[in-house]
Amino acid sequence: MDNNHPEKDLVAQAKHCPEAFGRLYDQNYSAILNYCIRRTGDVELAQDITAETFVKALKNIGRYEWRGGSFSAWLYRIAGNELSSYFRKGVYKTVSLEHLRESQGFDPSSQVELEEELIAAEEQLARFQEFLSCRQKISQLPTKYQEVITLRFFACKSLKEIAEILGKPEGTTKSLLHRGLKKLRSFFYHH
Amino acid sequence: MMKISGKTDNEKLQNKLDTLALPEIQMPAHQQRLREMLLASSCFEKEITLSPLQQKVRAGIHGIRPVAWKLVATLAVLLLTLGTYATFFAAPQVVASLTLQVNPAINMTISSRNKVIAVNGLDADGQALLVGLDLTSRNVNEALRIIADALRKDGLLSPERRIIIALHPIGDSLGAADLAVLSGNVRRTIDEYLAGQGISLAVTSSELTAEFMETAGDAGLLPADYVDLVAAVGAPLAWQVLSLYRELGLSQESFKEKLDDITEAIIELIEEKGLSEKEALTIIRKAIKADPTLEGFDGLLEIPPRETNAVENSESVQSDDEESGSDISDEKMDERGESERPRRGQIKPNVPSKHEVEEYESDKPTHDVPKPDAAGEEMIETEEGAGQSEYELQESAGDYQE
Repeated sequence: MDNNHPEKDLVAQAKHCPEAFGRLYDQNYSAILNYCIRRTGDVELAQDITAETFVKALKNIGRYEWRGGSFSAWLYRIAGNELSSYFRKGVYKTVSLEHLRESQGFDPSSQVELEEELIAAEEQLARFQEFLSCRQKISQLPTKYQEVITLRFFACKSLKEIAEILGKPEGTTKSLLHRGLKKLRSFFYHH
Repeated sequence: MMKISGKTDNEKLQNKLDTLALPEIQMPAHQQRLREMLLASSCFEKEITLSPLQQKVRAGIHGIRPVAWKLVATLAVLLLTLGTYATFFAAPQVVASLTLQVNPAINMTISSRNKVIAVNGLDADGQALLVGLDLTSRNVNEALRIIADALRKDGLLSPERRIIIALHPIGDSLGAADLAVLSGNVRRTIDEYLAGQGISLAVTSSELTAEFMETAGDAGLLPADYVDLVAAVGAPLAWQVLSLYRELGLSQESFKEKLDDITEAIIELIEEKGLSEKEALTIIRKAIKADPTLEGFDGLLEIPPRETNAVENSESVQSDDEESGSDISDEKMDERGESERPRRGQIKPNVPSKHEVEEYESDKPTHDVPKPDAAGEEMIETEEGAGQSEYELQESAGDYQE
């Protein structure tokens, strides 16, 4: 047992223990979901991307190697790749999730509850008009700037954490953020 | 529009983003549903206990020093580079030779990648035509179109001419089937070019062996000289005819000059007189030998068709058969059981006896044997003694002519 890195042990267990994976999931679900909502401004799409992120994490956790970083950074990176794919193609397909659903069957009893929850979440999001306006402006930036700005201001990550998520040096991340803000400034004050 | 300094703008924007109220949405039903799905998945690895050997192997792979990895990577890159060089940049393999004659005559050496490696004119006109044409390294089809275009511009693709193509393999890498494919490809390219230009011109193509081309080269012949012979009797027999040049020690000029006559004669002997290829070749050989200058060649071959040679006198036939062992007497016997073989003085004098044919065949050059040698020439001398003397041959030829 590594007392300095309890997450390391939990990740090691999660490779073959569903309960351990469940704990990692519970710790990170909300953060990833809200990151996706804040990037896309679409609750249903964010649900799909979050689900796909965790399915991919589950499928690939066997190959995950602990290198001193946090497990959540890895999840943010998977989510970031999924979001980039959506922004690049304009559509999103939950391939891994559908595969998992097909293998487990479909449970119609929970659908009503899920739909009600979705409607409530959309209504809640609609109340954040200033945020939505800001997000809309950010979404006009190239993806690399969107990513660094949303991680910094919408996911409240430090430069070090952003660098870890993006797999880039901290200096590069800082420059990206600076250039991104400079570009975003024109949308706020010159348009 | 408001204009503020860059620094003020940035700070203002950062403050705005820092203080922005963010939605914090909780979706417990979705979270629970997804959790159930994930944990029910069969993706979880079974805990694997590695055997001591597997642990050793794994430790070995991870335990290799970075220097060793670098060495392995360098070697891999080196091998890859060499492989790439050998595949794409090493000297191309020569597989075939193509001769195109209109006239002019041009020869191209072709690589295994269907590219022209070298090109040269086989006569003065061919050399002149190639001046200014950049054909090396081009695809064969492309090179042929360029040559055909140059020929057309020089007015050399007129209807009375014909295009002759001869292909032969170089080395062993091109099989007969591959050569046929290449030949078909060449032929199609020429035909398509002519059709595209609205030119009607005869095109003849032959696939020959390297030995054939060597023999033809020795005799100073170009495809136009022997293409009709090949078309009429086939490449193997044509090669034996061409081999007579070296076998009988003829001069290049006289052989080349008389090759048309020889071609006509052998076609006539086979097709009109009904002789076998062996018999026809023996007659031609005898005729040339009787007159190595080839001046009286035409006269020596004036032979009536086999059917008209039958005569009544069987004594002479008997003696002929005894001498020569000809199988012709076996073929035609009258009702008295006597051979219809014509007697001396009345029979065609130059039809070779079975003995002569067999003896010649036993030692003649075949398409399996590269070329005739000194032993072949010796055999010819011996054959005369065993069969007819040169005097007898000329005498009987004279008899027939009477």
